[in-house]
Amino acid sequence: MMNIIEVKDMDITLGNKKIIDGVNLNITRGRITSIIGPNGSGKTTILRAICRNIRPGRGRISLDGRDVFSYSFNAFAKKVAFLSQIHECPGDLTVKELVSYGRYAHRSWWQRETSEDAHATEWALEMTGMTGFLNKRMGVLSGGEKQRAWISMALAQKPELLVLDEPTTYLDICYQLELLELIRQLNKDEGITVIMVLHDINQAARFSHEIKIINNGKVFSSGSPHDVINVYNLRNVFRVETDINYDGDSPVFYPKCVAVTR
Amino acid sequence: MAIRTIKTEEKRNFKDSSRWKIFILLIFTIFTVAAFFISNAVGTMKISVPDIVHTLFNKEEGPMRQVIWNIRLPRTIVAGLVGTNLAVSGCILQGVMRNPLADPHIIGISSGAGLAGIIILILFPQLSYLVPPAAFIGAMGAAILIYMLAWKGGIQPLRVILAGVAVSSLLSALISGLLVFYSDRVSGALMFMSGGLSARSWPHVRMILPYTIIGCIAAFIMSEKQNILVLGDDTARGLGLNVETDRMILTAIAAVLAASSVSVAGLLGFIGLIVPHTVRLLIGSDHKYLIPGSAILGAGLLILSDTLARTMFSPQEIPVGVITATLGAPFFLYLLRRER
Repeated sequence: MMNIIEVKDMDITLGNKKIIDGVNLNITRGRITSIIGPNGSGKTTILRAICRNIRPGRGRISLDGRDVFSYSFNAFAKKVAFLSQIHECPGDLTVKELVSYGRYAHRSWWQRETSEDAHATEWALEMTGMTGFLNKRMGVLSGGEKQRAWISMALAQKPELLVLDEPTTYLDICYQLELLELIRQLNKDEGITVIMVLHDINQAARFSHEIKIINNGKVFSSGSPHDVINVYNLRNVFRVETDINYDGDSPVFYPKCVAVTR
Repeated sequence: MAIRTIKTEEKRNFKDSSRWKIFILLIFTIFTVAAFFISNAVGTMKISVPDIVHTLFNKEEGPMRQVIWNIRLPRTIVAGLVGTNLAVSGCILQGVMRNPLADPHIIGISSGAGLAGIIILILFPQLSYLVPPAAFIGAMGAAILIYMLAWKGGIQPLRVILAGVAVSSLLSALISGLLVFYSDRVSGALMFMSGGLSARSWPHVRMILPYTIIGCIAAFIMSEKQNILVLGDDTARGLGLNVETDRMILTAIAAVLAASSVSVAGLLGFIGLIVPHTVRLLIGSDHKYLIPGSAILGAGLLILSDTLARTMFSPQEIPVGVITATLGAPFFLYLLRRER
């Protein structure tokens, strides 16, 4: 099956406001898909619905062709790992403990750590370069290290699909790039499908295979960065006039001024 | 400079190690055992520790046996069990509600038990032997009501806390109303409201013990779930936790623990708030150690407080709640200041 996630005719209403309005989207297996859009457009809501944190009012979301809500909690967590935008944890939690929570779905409460668990956490720490931080408390880590620790936790789930909500927020630019390069490497070497919400459009263009532009709860445009990042879309969705250049194949835009629309 | 960094690093690593945590648990245990013996030793009749041990393990009749077996031992055990229940209940709620100020009061345990107890004591004083079961039912009723009010396709901790405040205020208003209308019958009610352990004996032990055993074991088994719930709902769900169900089960365990202790000892405040915090500051936030730590320290602290309550101004007893607050509050503040 080519699509790991298929969303069909999804509506989500929170309070009296229709946040998501008839969204259809497919996420291709083995690729990096970024969801971009202005504040309040519904990007995060779409991610939360895919991860079963919100139940859509109408429509259907399927993972590998099966309704996401038909999976048991454990079975779902073995396939999909989700990192929300804001995550907090007690400062005295060690990286090792945090990453071990990633194995929660894989074992029963009476079971001690199996060798499979040990391998998975070891691998997850290695992938993110956090092996040396094993016994550190989360409270003493820098923002970039913390984020890598959380990614390790998600990787320890051994997911087929990694869902990230603005993983680069609050990070210095160098850590942002470090993280995005890590995500690219995980996708390329380990074949993990990635869906993420990104705030920085240029970063989305550089690091994704596919981009979905969300506006007013609808999918405004969808396709390769090359097809989607254009003057028309940026003007109508993000309300900026732009110059677009190309760095190799990936578009890079430079915002000029606020667009006057309508 | 570099050496100092390494040293603090080592110190920190040691404090994270399970050996340090077990060491602290051991200290708590020694404290609680000491409190147990002090509680059995002091009073109008002083009994030495060897005599206590002798009386506990031999069936010799005599005044010593009377005092220990009929008065001090059961009261000490009730105090220990009540302390354990309140502390573990508070520990669970602080984690599950992700709120450091959560304690058995916020889920309506106290006001529910209070109203039921006061209704019996004031309106049907001849039925006062029914106070424990009525208080238990009142406590669980209030907790269930709050949970239902906060339910809206799921539970948000903040909604539980707000619903708890609202319901508690309403029930407290009803209590105040009753007290004003029947001001001639207030004194018995006052003892119940401030909580106390005088004249508690074996029937009370039997009343509370099953809840303590089942509640503590269940809370301990679910310690990893509690660790994960602390990370937030979305993250916990992402890791494979059935957030709604687990939170409901844990809240129910906390409610039963607190309700059983309130029904036996009245509205004892503060233990459920301060013990888990103290343990957290010393042992860290891993529930695998937090739950047993709270259980042990809660027992020791309430046994010691109750001993002080009955001996300090003997023969006049002061409510044990007064002691826990005056002992606990400054110590708690000291721990908070030390941390940062």
